[in-house]
Amino acid sequence: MKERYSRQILLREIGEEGQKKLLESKIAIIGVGALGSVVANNLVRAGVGRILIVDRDFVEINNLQRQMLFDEDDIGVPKAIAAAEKLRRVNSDEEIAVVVKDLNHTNAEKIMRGMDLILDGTDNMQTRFLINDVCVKNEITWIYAGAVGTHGMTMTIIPGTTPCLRCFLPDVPEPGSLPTCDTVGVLNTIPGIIASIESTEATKILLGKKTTTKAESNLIVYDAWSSTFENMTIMRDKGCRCCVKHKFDLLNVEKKEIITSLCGRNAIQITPAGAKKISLDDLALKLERLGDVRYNDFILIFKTEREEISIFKDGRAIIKGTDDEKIAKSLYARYIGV
Amino acid sequence: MKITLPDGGIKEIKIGNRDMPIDNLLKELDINPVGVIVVKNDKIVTEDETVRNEDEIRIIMIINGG
Ligand SMILES: [Zn+2]
Repeated sequence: MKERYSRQILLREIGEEGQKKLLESKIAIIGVGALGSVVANNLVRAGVGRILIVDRDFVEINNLQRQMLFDEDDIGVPKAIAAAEKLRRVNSDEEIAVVVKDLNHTNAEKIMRGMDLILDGTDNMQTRFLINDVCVKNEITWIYAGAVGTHGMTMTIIPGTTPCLRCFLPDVPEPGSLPTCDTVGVLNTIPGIIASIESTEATKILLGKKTTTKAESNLIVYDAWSSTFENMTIMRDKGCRCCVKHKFDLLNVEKKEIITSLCGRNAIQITPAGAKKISLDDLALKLERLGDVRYNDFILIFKTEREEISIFKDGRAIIKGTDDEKIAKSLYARYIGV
Repeated sequence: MKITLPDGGIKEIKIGNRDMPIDNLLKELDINPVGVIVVKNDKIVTEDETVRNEDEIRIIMIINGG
C-alpha cells in the first residue's frame, strides 16, 4: 500500500492520514465519457477506495479521440464495463462497481445514496438537474463539469452550504437547445483539463480540506482559445426551487416509459417502464432474418438499411437514424416488442 | 452598456436612465434565457436583477458536453 501511494503520501497536503481518508472514500462517477474517463483514471490511481461507475452508452469509434480509457478493442462494449476492466488493471486493490443504465428518476436516489461524493461526467443538462435534485435532497456533495468546443467549466456544489445548480440556472434547458460535442465538436484536451480540475476538487473534498461556510461558490471557466481561466462567484438564489424551496421536479415525475432525445446524435433512447430481462440470444435469432446483427454479453446492435438499434439486456434501446419519438417507439415495438 | 455575447461578439447599447431587468435585456437581444448565465461586473447574477448603462455585461452559455 505504502509503496503504491508513496509519492502522494510524501505530499504535505495528503500524508498518511490523508491517504487513509482516500482509501476509505466512496464515490460515484455518473457518465464515463471524456470527462468521466479522466476523473476515474485520476481517482483510481490516487487510491479512492470504492468507485461506482454509471454509464448508459457503449464505446464507438468517434469516442477514441478523447475518451482516454478506451481503445479499439472496446468498440461495442458498454463504457462502464470497458472502463472498469481497464481500471482494475491499474489498481486491483480497489472496489470498482458498474451500473450499465441510464440514470433517471426511478433509480437515481438508489444509486447515489450513501456516496461521499458524486462526480459529473454526463453529457446533458437533464441528468445534471436530476443529480442536483438527488444531491440537495440527500445532502451529498457533487461536482458539475462540462466541456465542449474549446472551453469548459466546473463548480462544486455542497448542499446546505453553497448555492446549487438551479441557483443560477432556474430552468432545465430543452434537449437540443445547447451545443454538444456531437454538434459543434470538442478539442480533445478540454475534457482532460476540466476533468483534472474536477478530480483535484474531489480530492480536496475527500481529504476534508475543502470546507466552506460561505453561501457562495465559484464557477471555474476555462477557454483554451483565449488561454484564460476565470473564477466567477455565484450567490444563492433566495427563491431557488431546489435548494431553498425543496421542490425536486426531476424526481417527482410519473413513473412510465422514458423517452430521451440524444441531442446532436439523431438518436432516441427508450427505457421501458418496468425492468425487462431480454435474452440477447433469442432476440438475435429473431432479428437476424431482418438485418445485420452483432452482439456480445451486454448489448445487441441491429442494423437495417435505414436504422441502427442498440438493445441492452434490461430492455433499454438506443435508436439511431431518427429524432422523432413516434418513429422510435414504433421501431421499438416492431423489433423488440412492448 | 457593453455586452459580450455568448459567441464572443461585443455589442454596445443604451437603455436610457432607468434600471432594466435582465430578462428584458435578454428579450431585447433576442436571447433565450434558458441555459444562459449572465455576468454583471464580474459577478454572476439572477434574471430578476437589473442592469444600467454603466454596467459591463457578459452572457455565457452553460456547458453541456462531457
Ligand atoms: Zn439552489
